[in-house]
Amino acid sequence: MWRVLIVEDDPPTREFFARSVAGCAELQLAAAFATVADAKAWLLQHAPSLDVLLTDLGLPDGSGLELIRLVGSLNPTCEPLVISMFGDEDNVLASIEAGALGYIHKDSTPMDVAQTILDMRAGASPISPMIARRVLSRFRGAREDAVPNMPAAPTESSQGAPESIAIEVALTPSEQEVLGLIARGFSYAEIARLRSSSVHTVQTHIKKLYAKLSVNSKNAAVFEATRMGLL
Amino acid sequence: MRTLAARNMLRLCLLAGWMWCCMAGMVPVAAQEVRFENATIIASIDGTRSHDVVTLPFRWDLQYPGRSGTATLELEFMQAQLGPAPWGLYLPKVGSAYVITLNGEVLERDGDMGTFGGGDTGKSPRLLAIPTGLVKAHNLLHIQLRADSGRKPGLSAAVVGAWSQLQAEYWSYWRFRTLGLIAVVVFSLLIGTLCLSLWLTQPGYPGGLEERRDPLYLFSALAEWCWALRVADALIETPPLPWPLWGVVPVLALGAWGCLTALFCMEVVRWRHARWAPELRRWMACLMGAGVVMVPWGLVWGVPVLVTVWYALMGLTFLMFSMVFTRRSFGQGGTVAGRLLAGAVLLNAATGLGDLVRLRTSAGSGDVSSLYYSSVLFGLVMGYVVISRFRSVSARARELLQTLEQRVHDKEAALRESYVQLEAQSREQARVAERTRILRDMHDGVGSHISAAIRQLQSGVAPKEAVLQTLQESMDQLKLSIDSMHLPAGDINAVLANVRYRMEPRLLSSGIRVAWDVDVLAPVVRWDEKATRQLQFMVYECISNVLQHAQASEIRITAREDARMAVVTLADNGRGFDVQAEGQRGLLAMRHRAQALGAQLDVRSRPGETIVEITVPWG
Repeated sequence: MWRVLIVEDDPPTREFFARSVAGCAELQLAAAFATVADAKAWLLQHAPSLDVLLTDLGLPDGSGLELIRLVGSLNPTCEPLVISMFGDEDNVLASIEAGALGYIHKDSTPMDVAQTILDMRAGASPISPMIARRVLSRFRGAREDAVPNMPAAPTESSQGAPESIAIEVALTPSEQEVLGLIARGFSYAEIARLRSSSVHTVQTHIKKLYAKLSVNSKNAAVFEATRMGLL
Repeated sequence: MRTLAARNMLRLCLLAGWMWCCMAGMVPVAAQEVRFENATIIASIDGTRSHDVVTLPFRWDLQYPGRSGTATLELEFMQAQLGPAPWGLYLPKVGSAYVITLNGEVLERDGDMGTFGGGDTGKSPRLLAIPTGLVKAHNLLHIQLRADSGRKPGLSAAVVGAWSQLQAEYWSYWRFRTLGLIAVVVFSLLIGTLCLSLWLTQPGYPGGLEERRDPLYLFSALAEWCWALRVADALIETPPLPWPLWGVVPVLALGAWGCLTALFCMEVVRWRHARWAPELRRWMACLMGAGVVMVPWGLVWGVPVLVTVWYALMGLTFLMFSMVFTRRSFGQGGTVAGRLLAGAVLLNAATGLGDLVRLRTSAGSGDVSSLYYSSVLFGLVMGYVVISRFRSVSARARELLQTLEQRVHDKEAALRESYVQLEAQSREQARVAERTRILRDMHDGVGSHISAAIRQLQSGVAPKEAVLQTLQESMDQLKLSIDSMHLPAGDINAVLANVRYRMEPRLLSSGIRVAWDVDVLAPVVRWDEKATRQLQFMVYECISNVLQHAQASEIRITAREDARMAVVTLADNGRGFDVQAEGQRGLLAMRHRAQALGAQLDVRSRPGETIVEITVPWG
């Protein structure tokens, strides 16, 4: 049984997601809130027992990204999911960088909602070709950035930092291949067939990738802060 | 700047004064020596001998004007007149060449006794040691001379006495005359060279006021060099030209110095454009031209009156010039430079006058003109004027440069500003274009779908499925519209992948499988975002048709490319339709879009297979 927290300000939508979660035997609705403040207060007490955070981004008193970061620091095993109207690149990428491991469309069917949560817990994250393309180009950009930065390491102690970005967050060849195929429109199943591996393997690539993207953005922030002399 | 210059000037004056004192310092004459006052002379001119008694200093030119010859002066002294040995003989000036014998023994010879017009030993003092053994109770000293007419040959004075006393006297005179004149020459050369280098490197007037070089520097440079040559003549014992030809050089150098100095003064007080300036310049040019003829004539062919006349003309000219110049400089509107110059002119005139009196009346220890030394002051003033002029011109140039820099800076700032404005404008334009696009999308897409749904609901007869269908389509188009904001221009793969991602759930829920057979295609370079979006619409339209009408179980999406074109094919296995039939609005819209894209649309349909082929040529 996975315990799920829902944060969504639109009551019908919140109801819809709550019903979708409640309707699934393997999921349990922990709570449902409409504001960042309520959700934060609840998380500070109950985060350790939470498995899934399902949050909208645009909330009346703040952004769902705050909650994603908070739950990430309180309980790293809890997996955040974003409720997105369009699954558009900008919002999804921002969520992933904050630590989200996937997103659910607002117009999904109740079955889709439950299935997406279960898939994620099982190690699969959804990704669109557009996002795959963006991620690919972002990693390519990060790698190109990291190399010339290396000799200009700011201090003795942090000499390893830029290098570790490059190594930690570089895409493996198979991740690159999977991303490339997704960007060209191939489904997980087709990719698995092409690569003679299982759909599950392909899906886990994406989830790991999301984690890397989040680390990448954190490292970049740390590196940037070090360079600016804040750390 | 002014006070600094004045302080430097003061320092230079003090230095010059100190040098003056050093050179003029004389050691008092001691007793126990013989200072000869007369001598018997046997002169030989053109083979004719004559016997005379002369007083010292003996000046040949006064005794035998216009003639060259040789002479032997006989001087007598007693050992009793001298103090204790060692002794010496001191001759401040002896020449043009000489042989000195004591009691028949040659003490020293210098210069060629046989050749008139050769070297001149009279340019520096002589001090000879007298061997003790040669001196007897009564002694006969013979000084044989070669005398070149007009070269001031003769014997200035002769002293026999204690070596140490004479040595002191000799060095003191040598310092004054030889070293002093060397200093003057070096100083003049330095000032001249400095002025010339300023003339060569002067910045000029970049304002276009006067593009040519300022002649002031050149005048001062040449004047100082002429002066150096003139003074150097008093030191050179073996000139590069034979006498009396060489004699022309210092005379002309003096004249040139006068003319150049006058020109310099005219530049300083800006008389260059005065009405009478060209006439004065012409007059000076005439004088110099006449000098080139008169001076050699006078010296070489022995008509010294010509030289005297020329000197007089020059002297008169400069006397008048300096009077006018002085009055003008000390009068109203005179400048500091003009006053300094006038002061120097006055001082030099006074010195020259003093010299004239001294040389004509006294039998002084030398024939050195004090003018040589007082001219140092003139050189100093010249240097000061030139340097301050150069500084002010440089300052002006610098100022102009700074103004220019400021102007360039302002222009750059203006340019930057207009660039920023332009950028803002183009951003604004892009914003307007994007807004227009979004509005059109809302109008054609979501707006028309929602109004259709409202009509369907209002009519009350439309089935629930139809309304759902309309709204669903609206949602699909909205998502595609949002995605298209990020579509890379000309990327067919991205378009196909995106449409599949958005539409596949709908196709699957309608029981239609997607067969995906897409190669990697090169981007279509000529397409912009708008064109790329047209393709997105075409593909969407196609899939939408299959969803609504085809009753298919599979749609196969293929993309291939070769050297000439890319081909996108969407084939379904539905019931097909009549391609030729009227009222196929969707098909017509697709043809229009294809045309706009420069692509070719080919639609073939029969029951069980409908193929839509979009061919995009690369060029």
